[in-house]
Amino acid sequence: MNYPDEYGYFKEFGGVFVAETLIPLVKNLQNEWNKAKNDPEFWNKINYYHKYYTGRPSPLYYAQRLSEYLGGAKIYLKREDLNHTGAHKINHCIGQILLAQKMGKTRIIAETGAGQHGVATATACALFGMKCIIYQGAIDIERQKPNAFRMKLLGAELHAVEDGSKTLKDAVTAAMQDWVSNVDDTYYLLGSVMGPHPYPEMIRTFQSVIGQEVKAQIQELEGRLPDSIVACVGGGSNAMGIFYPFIEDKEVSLIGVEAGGLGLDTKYHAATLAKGKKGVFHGMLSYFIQNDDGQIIEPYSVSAGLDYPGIGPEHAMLRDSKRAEYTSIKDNEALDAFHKLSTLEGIIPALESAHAIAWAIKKAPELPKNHIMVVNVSGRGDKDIFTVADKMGVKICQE
Amino acid sequence: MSRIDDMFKDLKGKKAFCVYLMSGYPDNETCLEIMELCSKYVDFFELGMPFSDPSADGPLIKTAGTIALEKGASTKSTLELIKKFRKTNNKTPIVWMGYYNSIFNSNIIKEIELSGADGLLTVDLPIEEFKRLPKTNLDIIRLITPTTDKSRISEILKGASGFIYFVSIAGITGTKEAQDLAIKNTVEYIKANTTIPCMVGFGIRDAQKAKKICKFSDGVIVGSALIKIISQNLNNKKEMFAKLEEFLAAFTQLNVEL
Repeated sequence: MNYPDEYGYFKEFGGVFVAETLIPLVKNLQNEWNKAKNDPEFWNKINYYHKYYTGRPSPLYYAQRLSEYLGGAKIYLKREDLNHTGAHKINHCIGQILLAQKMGKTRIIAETGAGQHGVATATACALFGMKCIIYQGAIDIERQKPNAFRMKLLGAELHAVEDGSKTLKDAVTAAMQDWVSNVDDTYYLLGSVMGPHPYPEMIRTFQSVIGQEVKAQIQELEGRLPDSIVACVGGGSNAMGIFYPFIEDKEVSLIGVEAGGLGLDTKYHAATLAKGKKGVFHGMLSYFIQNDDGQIIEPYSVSAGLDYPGIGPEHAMLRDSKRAEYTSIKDNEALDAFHKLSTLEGIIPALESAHAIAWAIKKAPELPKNHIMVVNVSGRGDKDIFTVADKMGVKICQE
Repeated sequence: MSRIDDMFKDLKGKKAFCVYLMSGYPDNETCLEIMELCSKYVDFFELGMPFSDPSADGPLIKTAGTIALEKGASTKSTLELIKKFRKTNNKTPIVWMGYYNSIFNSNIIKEIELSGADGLLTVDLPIEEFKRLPKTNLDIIRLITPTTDKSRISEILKGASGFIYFVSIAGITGTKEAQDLAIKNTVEYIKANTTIPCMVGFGIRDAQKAKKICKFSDGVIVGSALIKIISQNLNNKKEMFAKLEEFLAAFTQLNVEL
């Protein structure tokens, strides 16, 4: 059976859990999405922008030096970092902005953690002449200064969220509050495979272009499917995008890497599937990091894009059905992978993607040379150089 | 007949006045005292269970919730608060208001019922998901908003109990002001299609506004305006209670024609 079902459930996860004010808007979005997803004209437009604007397909690159250095599995990198705006987020922004345009909406709101989704949204808004308001936690703005400035350059209004942990979770809440207050003209351009139905399905569908390309590219390069696919997971959009076209190919292992922060035995991590419990938050039934009384716990990760206390409902289903495996990588392992990929392959990955690379670095040496592993490099690391410099004790700009 | 039904029946067509209080705000002890003070003026309560990420609430109620949680408020302390209040007051109905996650992972609904509460209002649980709630004697309060169309209003009214909560603005608590003319038509439509009372909440700042709304509704719910008085007088309890009493007293005139 194909998930989600007509009510937006991935087995027991997903659904629609929003305030009554938003119900008609969510239903309207479901109807518009159901029409659009079967409309060839709509997909022609998306494909046009993918090809001529974003620069798709993104390469599938054999990381020869990294593979030889590790001495095990043959590692391929899916280069989503080479997309226009520097990450996979543009894939679902082009799709959603075209849908918003079809729906006659003129004002776009979005949340962002690392700023990759914010930059991609601001870019799409500039491209289509839409008003753009981005919510970003004040702490994330501080640790992702280049992206914060980039959004402003693109003409977006950037709102610093000062509530709670001042990170991604609070930015999502602020965006939902904006939506509930501006119901007529506003489209909420969500940035991950989360939130109320139809967002998880819709964003997965827009992101599936990653996995579809990998499938064709690996056939061309190796004449077969990969043995394993690795991606980092915060909300889970890049992972869902690369996993989904392989779900029925049971011989392909799917591995999602959560942010282990300072370690799962501490309070400082964002490993939702490892440490969370079932709950309802941000419009969906899924796993969340929370206390015994149902209060959401503020997560932690060195990477702002993985710093979220929940996970998309489809990942929750894939984990519970054991179709995908989820693991975690700590801050220091991700930072180490960040340096290794930079010096061995000349690719500076986003700190988010560095979690997936770190897992490959850890596992590849144990695997045979004929094991083909595809790692999704979901974004580039230019935005992270200040964080990394700080960790290295290097000062790279004058105050 | 529930305590909520009895309350409306006893009003004999007069308007109901409800206030929203945040459990454990500004602290557990003061919260109980505020409830006792309010009970002299109000017909019933909404008692908010604080939540870490209250997506439907504006800055005033959100901040109150944060402070309550810092002071140790929990589902357990909220149940205790209701039990303590019930020791001296067995008449004023209490509606437990909160977010679904607070009651998702536990069997708390039975405990809410046993504590002496009378209704349950869950902001982020739409009617399609009510089947998830266990069987209970609590009145499950349903919301109607300015974005709800007539066919959905009919769906919501089917099986409704206690009262209908009409959210008068599209937005979060304590921000916009309710536009009485714009909501009059919807409230009249609701009342024409149900036998249970229709209360109006969100955006009602003072007694003047309340009186206007009461011309067509069965009563009003006031939240942020009251929380604001508490928040402005945190360091002076005497002043806080005097100001609360002054504010509440103005609403006793709800049934007087302007």
